[in-house]
Amino acid sequence: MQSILTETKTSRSQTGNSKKNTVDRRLKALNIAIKRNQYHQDALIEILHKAQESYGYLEPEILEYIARQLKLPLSRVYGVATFYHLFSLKPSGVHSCVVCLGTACYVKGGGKITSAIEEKLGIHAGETTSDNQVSLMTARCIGACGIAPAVVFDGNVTGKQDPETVLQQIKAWQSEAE
Amino acid sequence: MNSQQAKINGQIVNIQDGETILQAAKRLGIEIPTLCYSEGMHPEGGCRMCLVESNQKSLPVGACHTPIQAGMEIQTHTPKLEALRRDILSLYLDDEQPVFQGNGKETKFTGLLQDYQLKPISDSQAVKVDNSHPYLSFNPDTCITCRLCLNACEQIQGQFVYGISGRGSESRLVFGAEESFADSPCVACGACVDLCPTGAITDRDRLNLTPADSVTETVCGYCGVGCRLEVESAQGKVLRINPVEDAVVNQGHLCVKGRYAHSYHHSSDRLTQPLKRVGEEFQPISWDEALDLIAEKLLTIKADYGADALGAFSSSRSTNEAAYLLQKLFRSLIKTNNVDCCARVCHSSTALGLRTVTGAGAASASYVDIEKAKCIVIAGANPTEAHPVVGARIKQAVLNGARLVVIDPRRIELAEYADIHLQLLPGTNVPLFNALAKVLIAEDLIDRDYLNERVEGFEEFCTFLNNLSLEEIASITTVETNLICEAARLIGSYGQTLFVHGLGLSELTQGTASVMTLCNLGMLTGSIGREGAGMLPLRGQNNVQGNADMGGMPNLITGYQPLNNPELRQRLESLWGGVPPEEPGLTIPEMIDAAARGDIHALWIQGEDVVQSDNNETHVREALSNLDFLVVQELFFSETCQYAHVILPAAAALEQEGTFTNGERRIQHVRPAVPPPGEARPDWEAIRDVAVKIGANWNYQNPGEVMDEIAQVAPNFFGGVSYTRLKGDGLQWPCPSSDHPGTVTVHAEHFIRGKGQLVTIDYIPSPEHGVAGYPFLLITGRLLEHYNVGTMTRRTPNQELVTEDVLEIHPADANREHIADGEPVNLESRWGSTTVKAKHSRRIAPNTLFLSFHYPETHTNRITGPHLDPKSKCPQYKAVAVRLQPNKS
Repeated sequence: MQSILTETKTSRSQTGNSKKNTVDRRLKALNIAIKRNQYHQDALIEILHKAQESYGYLEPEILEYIARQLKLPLSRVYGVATFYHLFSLKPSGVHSCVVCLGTACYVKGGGKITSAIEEKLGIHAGETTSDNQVSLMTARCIGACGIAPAVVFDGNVTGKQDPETVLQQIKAWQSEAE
Repeated sequence: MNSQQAKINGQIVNIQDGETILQAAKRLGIEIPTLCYSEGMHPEGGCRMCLVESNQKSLPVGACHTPIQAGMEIQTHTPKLEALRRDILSLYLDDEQPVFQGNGKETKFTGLLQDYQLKPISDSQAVKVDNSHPYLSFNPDTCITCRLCLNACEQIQGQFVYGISGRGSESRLVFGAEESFADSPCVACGACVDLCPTGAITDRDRLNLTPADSVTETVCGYCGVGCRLEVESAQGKVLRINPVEDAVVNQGHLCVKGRYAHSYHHSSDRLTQPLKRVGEEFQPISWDEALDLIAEKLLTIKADYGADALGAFSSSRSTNEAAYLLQKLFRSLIKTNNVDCCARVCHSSTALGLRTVTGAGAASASYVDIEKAKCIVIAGANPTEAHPVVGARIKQAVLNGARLVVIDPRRIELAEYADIHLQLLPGTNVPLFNALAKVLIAEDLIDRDYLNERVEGFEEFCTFLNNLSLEEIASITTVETNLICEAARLIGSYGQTLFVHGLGLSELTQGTASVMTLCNLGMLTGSIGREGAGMLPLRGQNNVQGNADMGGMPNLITGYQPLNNPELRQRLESLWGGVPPEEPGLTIPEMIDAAARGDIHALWIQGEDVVQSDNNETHVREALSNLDFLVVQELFFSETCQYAHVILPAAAALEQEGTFTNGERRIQHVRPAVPPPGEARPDWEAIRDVAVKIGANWNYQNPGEVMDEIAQVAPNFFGGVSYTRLKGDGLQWPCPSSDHPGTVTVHAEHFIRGKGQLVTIDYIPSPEHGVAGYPFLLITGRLLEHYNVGTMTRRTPNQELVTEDVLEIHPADANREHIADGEPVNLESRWGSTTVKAKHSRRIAPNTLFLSFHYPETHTNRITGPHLDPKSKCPQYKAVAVRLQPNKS
C-alpha cells in the first residue's frame, strides 16, 4: 500500500539502510491533474478520471489521497466515485468483456450471454475472476443495435454474438494466460 | 388578505421575511408531515412528504423549501395530497430492500406509517447492524437514505462522516469510504441520532428501554463550555442524557463526553464513606468522626505552627458554593490566605493578564459572538477536542464564511479550515503577537478612534515595536515573515476580531505576557468590548471560572477584590465575623514547595488529583508525603488520595445542587439528577460541617443561601445573582443588581480598568528553550475522548475509544530517531522520564512532540519541570525540552 503513494525519493528502513525509490509515475500524473485544477473541490470528477486512467481503478488509498488534497470529506469523494458506473473501485482484469443489455441486444439474447458467462466464470457482472484475467461488465445500449447482440471484447465491438462464441473468446483468453 | 398575507387551509397568515410554507404553517399550528426536514438546517427537500397544493402552482410544491409568498392559498391536507403521501411512504416498504421496523421502537417513521394506515414490515431476520461503536449503532435495513443524518453531521457538528454510495435504488448511507462506525471520523456528538426519523442510527445506551422516572435539567460537569443537559434517571441511576433544545450555550447539541460519558457516576469504585489513614491502610469511619478529626487537626496544627502552616486547594470541578465556603473557612476561621484553585495550573495567566490590561479577569466576549464574528483568531487552543461544542460552533461559523487564523504549534483540526495557520515554535507567542502588532500599525490597519478614546500606552508601544525586527522574530518563532504579514493583513482588513485563546498561551513562563500581548491585538483592532469580537478564553473545567470568581486565589477575595480594600474588610467583618490578613497567601506551586520544605503542615485538597495533573510529579509526591495532615475530597481513590490522612467521599456533578460558571461568565443552576452513592456528600456540606465543628455559626440550609451571601460579599459582580433568577440560561456576570440582565459584552462602554493598557513586553526565551542535549520541545495536552486526568472518562465506554496516551511525533523525526509507529520510547527531560508509545503524526511539527496526560501510568508530569510564570505562577506545560530513544527492553 505504501508504495502507491510514495512521494519521498529515498525512504529509510528501520535499520537505517537507505534505498532508492523512484517517484511513482502514476502519482505524478495524478498530482499534475490536481495542481492543474488548482486543488478546486469542484474538479473532483476530472481528478477521479485522471486517477482511474492512471491506476486503472480507484482504490481506497487513492480516494483518501484525493480527499486530503482537495480538503474534501472522504465520504463525499467516495459518494461521487460510487455514483458513476465509469469509476471502478476494484481492479479490472487483464481482459474486459462488456455485454450490451440495451433493448435491441437484450431482445436478441444479451441476457442469456451474460448468464452464460456468469455461470462459466463463477462471477457476477461488475466483478473480476479471482485469477484477475477477466472482468465482466454490462452496458445499456452501446449504439450497435444493427449488429445485436453486441459484446465489447477488450474495447473491440463484436456483433451477432451468442453464448457459444462469447465463451470461445473467453476460453481463448484463458489459454493465452496459461 | 392584504399584500403581506397568505392563506393556509383558509387561515390568514402574515408573511415573515425568508419564511417557508412549512414554517408559516407551523406558526398557525398546522403540522405538515416531514421525514428529511429539521428546523435550523438547510431544507433537503428529498422525502416529498411535505408536498402541499398552492393556487400559484399547477403541481404540489415542497413546503419545506418553498418560500411563502403574498396571495398564496395553500392547502396542506387534501385527499389528493394524503393519497400522494401514502403512495410515497409505501415506496419505502415496496423496495427490494424494505424498511423494517427497528427494534419495535416508535419512531417518526413508524408514526407516519400508522397515520397513513401502512403496516411496517416487521422482520426479525438477523440484519447487518453496525455495533462497532461503543455508543452508536447503525441498522442499514431501517435506513431510508433521507440524508438528515448527513446534513446534521455537516451543518451542526461539521464532521462530514456520512456519504451516500451508489445511486437510485442502490443508494446506501455509508461512513467515509464504507468504514465501520468506529473507524469513521465520527466524534459521537449524537446530533444525527436525535434527528434520525427511522431509528436506523441509535444511541446504544438508548436501546435500553427503561422508562425514566424523572427528568432533571442541569449543567454538564465536564469542560468550561457549560452545556445544559436534560438527565433522565430511574431508581437513582442515570439512564441517558439529552441536550436542552433551546439552551443558549449548546443550542441542542452535546459532545461525546457530555452526552454519553456519565457511567462513572455509578462506577463500583466510587468512594462511599469517609476514610481515615491508619499506618499505610485506610479505614472507614463515620462522617461525625471524620469531621471531628479534621476540625481538631486543623486547630492543632494552627496552634502549633501558625495559620500559614495550613492551606487549601479549591476545586474547579465543584460548585461555586463549595469553592466560596472553602476559601471562607480558611480565611475567616483559620485566618490564612493560603487558598488557591486549580486554575493556577491552567488559566491563572489568562485571568491575570486580562485583569491587568482590561480590568476584568474573564472573557470580554460570549459564545454568541462566534456566529457574529467576521474574523476569528484561535491562539493556543484546540476547541474541537477540548471544548467540542464551541469547536463545532467555530467550525460552522467558518463554513458559513467567517475567516480564520490559527496560531498553534500543532496542526489542529481547525487549522484545516483556517485561511492561515501560523505554526509557531512552542513558547514563542509573545514575539509572534508583537510582530502581528508591528505589521498592523505599519500598514495602518488599526482603529485609531478606539485607541484614542479607550486605550493608553500607544506612543510607547509604537516606539517599542520600532526596535523589533520581523526577520528576527521569524527566526525565533519559525514562522515565515510573509505569513506573519499575511495574517496581520487578514485580521487588519476585518478590524474587529474574535480572539479565542487557551492554555497554549497561559501555560508558559511567558503565559501572562502571551495573554497581554494578544490583548494588544484586541485593542489595536478595536475588538475588545465590541459585539462579534473581543477576547474569548476557553476555560478548561466546568467551574474554573467560578472557582477563581469565588476567591480561590491567595491575593483576591470573592469577586476579585483586593485583600486590603478597607470597605471590603468592613463588610467581611460583619458578614464573616473575621477577616484574613492583608498579605496575600501562597499559590498552589508555592504551597507544594512550602510543604516539601516543611513550612506547610496541613492541606485540604478538594477534587483535584495534583499528583497526576500538576507539573513535576516527583516533587509533588515528595511534598505531599511530607505533610502532617492532608484532607482530600474525591469521587475516587486518586493518586493524590495515597497521601491523604482523611478522605471525604464527594458528590459528582449530577448528584448535587449548586452553580457552575462557564467560560463566558454564565452562572447556571446545577440540580441533582441522582443521589450520591452511599454516604458521599456534596463538598459544600462537608465544609460547612467542619466549620461548625470548629465553632463557626454557619447555618446554611442549602446552596442558595450561600449564593445570597456571595451576592453580598461581591455586589459589583454578583449583587443581582440569586437562585430565583437562575432559571434557564442563568446570568452572565457582571450582574450588580436584581434588575440587571447580566452582561454579554464586558467593557462595552469603557474598560472596567478605566483605559485599556497596551503592554510592551519583549520575548524572553523560557528555561526550556535551547537546552543542549534535549533537542525536542514537548507540549502536553488533551484528547477529545478524555477529560483532564481521565478520572471520570476512564470509567466510561470512552475508554474503548481511546485506550492509552500516545506520544505524537513527526514521521521525519521518527525516521531519523529510528522509532517505528506504535513503538514504545523512553522520553526524558531534565526533571524525569517515562515510557510511552510513539505515534507518527503530521499534526505536529518536526522537532516538537505532543503527549496527553489522561492516564496515571503515563506519568506525563514527571516530564514537566518546575518553571512557573513569574507573575501568575502557572507552570510551563506547553514547552518542555526532552530527548527520546526507542525503548529496547
